[in-house]
Amino acid sequence: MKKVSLILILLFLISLKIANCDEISVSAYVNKTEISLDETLQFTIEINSSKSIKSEPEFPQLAGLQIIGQSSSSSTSIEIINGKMSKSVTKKYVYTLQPIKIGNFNIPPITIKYKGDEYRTKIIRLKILASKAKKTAPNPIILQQQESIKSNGKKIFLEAITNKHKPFVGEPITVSYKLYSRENLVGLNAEKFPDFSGFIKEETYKGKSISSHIEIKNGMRYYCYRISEFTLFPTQAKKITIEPMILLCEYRVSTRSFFDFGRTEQTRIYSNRIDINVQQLPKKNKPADFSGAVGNFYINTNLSSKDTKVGESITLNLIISGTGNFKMFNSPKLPELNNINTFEPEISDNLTGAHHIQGKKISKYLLVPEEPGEYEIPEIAFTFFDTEIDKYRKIFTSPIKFTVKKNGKQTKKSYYSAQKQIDVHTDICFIKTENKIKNFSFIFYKFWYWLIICISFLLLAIAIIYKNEQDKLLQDRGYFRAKFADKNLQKDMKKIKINLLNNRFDRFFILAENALRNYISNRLNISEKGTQIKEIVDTLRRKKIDDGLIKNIEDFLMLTDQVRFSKIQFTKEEINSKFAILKQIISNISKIKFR
Amino acid sequence: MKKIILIILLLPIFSTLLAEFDLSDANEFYQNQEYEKAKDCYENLIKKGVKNFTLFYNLGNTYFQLEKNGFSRLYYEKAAKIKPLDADLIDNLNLLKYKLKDKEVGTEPSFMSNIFKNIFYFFPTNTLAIFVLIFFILIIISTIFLIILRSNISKKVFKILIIIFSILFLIFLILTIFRIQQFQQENTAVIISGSVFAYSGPSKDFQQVFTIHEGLKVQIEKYDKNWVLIKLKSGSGGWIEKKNLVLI
Repeated sequence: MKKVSLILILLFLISLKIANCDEISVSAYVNKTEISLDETLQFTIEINSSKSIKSEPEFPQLAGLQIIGQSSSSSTSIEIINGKMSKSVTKKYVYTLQPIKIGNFNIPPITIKYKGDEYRTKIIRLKILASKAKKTAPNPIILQQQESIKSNGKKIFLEAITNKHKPFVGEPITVSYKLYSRENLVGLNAEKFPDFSGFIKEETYKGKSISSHIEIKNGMRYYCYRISEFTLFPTQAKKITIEPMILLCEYRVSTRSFFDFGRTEQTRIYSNRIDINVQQLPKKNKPADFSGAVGNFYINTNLSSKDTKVGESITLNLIISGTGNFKMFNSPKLPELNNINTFEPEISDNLTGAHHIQGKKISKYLLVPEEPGEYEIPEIAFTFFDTEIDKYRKIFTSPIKFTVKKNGKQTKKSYYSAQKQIDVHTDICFIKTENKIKNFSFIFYKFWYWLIICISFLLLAIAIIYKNEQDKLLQDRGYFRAKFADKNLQKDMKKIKINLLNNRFDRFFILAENALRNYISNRLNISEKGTQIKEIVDTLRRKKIDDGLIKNIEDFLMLTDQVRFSKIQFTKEEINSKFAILKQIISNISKIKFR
Repeated sequence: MKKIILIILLLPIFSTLLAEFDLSDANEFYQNQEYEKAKDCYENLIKKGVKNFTLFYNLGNTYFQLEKNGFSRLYYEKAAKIKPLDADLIDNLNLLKYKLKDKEVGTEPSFMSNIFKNIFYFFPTNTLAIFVLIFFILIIISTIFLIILRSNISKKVFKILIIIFSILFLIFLILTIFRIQQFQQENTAVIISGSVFAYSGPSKDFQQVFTIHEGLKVQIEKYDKNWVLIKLKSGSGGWIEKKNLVLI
């Protein structure tokens, strides 16, 4: 901070000094550069300044010339432009010189001292000829030709000047047109401008009003008019001639007497041709990333801030400065930065100077970091053709580091999910190489899925039924007996059949009675032992069973009782018929539901 | 006898379950970088109505190589419906999303939602369905034992078992139903046309609202003849022509 303020103070002091300093310009000129011995020469020293200066020029010893007269004059002019006043004092010292010898002589620089500084004029070359009376007049045509080439002593001439005759393709050159006149111009018309084919042209100056300044050219004093200035960018390598510019000038012829109000004359003026030999950029060692920039450049970068937060933007300025064809190349591209969003840059050309070839090309990149951390913007390369050394040059920026902090304000940050992976995978993962595939379907919708569920339910139902049965058998003795009545009956009947087959008829009635009694008592849940026939009949009656059946049962039981006690013998046929009756009775009972 | 009937009943079911399709030709074309041919082979199976993760994933890859981002996204998303947590698939989808013109801006899922997502998608839907079945059978068996057995201690044990199995059964049933529902939802689609204008109404006479590009996944809100009202992740909605998108 201290340094900055010191620099500022220094700058201020310097500017003060400049403001105090008087602008002085010193020039010297002659009215003729070729004189004969019998002529005199006027040599003028002109001092222009904003204040009157008292110091006189120190006149040196001249070879071949002698001073025969001296006078001085002073004039002050005040100009007010846009409210700004400027004062200029012009002091002229006019010396009348007499040539003594024939030959080429120089008037050496004249020195003027002012406030310790020395100001010098330019050397003026003179040619002193023999006296005109003795000399034959030179061929006027030759003279004119000489004049047109050298423009020596010509009253009006138009000069085209270029700064470079052998530029490279793309290298900017400047062409300026200046009109020099010793007459007072009153009108000026452009008749023809050169078309500058083979160049991209940019007009950097166009004279709008007839304004002139005084310029000493070839030792003579001229009014100099800036007509126009162009910056040209050659597009192809070849010899190009810029055709002359043609102007139509109108000037006032100076008066010769008091009553002569003067007249105007017109003349057509041609500028000189300019030959330009555009050179191809060397193909050898041409870098692949050559941007097309030709000139002399510097590159640097700066960041708007070296501390930022996630999601907040910072600006990276990529600045190319120097001299060259700024409009004919693009800025180098920013390398890809991980976890930083970059946007298309905003590019501006900031050109200064008279010819629009000096300045800066500024690319403003907006960077938005997405993750916190330490970042570095790597060096950025820029390749151009350096016209000073006539070689390609690659220059680099220095890397910049910056820190990104977490952003407390954002609870959820925006993200581009894909970019997280990009540094890991440059290609997609390979296909799955299994060759046999099955159709995907939900087993939830499969028949067998629901079949298993149904079977499970079925099993559950069976279990419940089984459980109920078990419970009944355990809790209800009647039910248990009835359940087993048929089984017991079948056993009893089997016994009877075996006895009958073995012809043991004596046991038939005992077995038959047992079977019937057991069956009935099991079905009716009554105790079988010692049960009277009457009891059985009564119970059957209570159950509202068919009387016929009851009668049959009673008869059969009575019969078996009788046989047991009376020992009556039965034939085989009779026993078989009784067995049939028993079967009939049992089948009738089994049809009855007691519960 | 019963067993034989059961086997006869189940045989055709298992045979359809075991039906296989051959991918070897298509995979070989892909490996030889003949992507057009590989694409045709995979597409043939798609036309047959085959749905399979590998098929969808490989076809997505093939379209990726053919630089048809829209179809690539479509088949990756279809594959993601079957196996959402496949690592290769997630990587490829992310790479594809990076290539797309429209970046999907959203909020980063929180830690908890990530965990939930991982649990939710941990098992394939069919595995979940099998779990549902297993727990159902376990409940039934426990219930049967509970009914039949008479000792009080064993009854208590089976009661506890039934409660545990029921809770697990319900969890897996809910997961399965959600997953199936999600699979069958047809409310997302992928843009397959290069760039599509969205209008404020179902006609080109309406004002243009935004432009979207190939490969973007959109939510479908409504249909109107040949027009669809879509909604982007950012929340903005617009009508586009039906031909520009394909349902996932």
